[in-house]
Amino acid sequence: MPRLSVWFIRLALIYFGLGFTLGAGLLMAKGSFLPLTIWRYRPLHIELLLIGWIVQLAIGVSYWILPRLSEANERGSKTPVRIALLALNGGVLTVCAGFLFEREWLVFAGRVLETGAVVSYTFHLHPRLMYSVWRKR
Amino acid sequence: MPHWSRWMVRMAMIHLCLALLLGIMVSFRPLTMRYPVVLSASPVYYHLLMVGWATQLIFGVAHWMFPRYTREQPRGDERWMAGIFFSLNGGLLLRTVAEPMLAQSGLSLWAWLLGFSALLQWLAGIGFILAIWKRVKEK
Repeated sequence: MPRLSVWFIRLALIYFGLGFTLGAGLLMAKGSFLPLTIWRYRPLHIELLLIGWIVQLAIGVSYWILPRLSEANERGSKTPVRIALLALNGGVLTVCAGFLFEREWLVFAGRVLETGAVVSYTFHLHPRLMYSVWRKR
Repeated sequence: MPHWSRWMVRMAMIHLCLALLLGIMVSFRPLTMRYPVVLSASPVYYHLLMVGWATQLIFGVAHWMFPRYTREQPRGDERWMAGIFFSLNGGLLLRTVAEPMLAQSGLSLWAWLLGFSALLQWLAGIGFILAIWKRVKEK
């Protein structure tokens, strides 16, 4: 497993732990074991699990496992993947801060970062997928 | 494919079917008007999809495919994975029943069962992180 995948997957696991803990708290509040005010953190629960966990894990595993560019097992330039790692995590944290402090512009900025991350990763992935098609032909 | 991965993938597909069936029921107006309890199962629909299917599928495939823990115990202690399997599915199925019932009846028994289901699912999630963390490593 390449180092960048280790970063993506470990960060995904951290977000998963946070999101799942918050989710358990929300459910406990539904059962009246915690104050219902915790429900204001529901958007955080969704953000942490959908983008922080699922999307990040998918990127980390696909970077590791999808076809490589050459017989020497090269995955291509790491720069767009590094950008994706920073932008995705910056994005998730910014969106969470936006929800926490009720600042819409932070949520917007975070979403822009997340989109940038996915575009950057797609830019990295495209030749790896095309090359495997050419090789088959 | 290891034993508990097969069971997790199987259960993930069962949860997906249950979620989609529940989705049909929630969006079928004559049914929801006659039995409002169905409408209150809407959060259950999303969680059967995202926890029962997506997350459980990830658990099963990661347990199977991630780098080996050690040569002697390539996937760690299998009993740990069994605990995660029963805790996640038990918790989620308990929620499937308790959440709509609590919304309808307000009985404290359902509140306790809902709290217990949250605890079970949380234990499964944290258990998975502990089990897989050491297997996320460079080769």
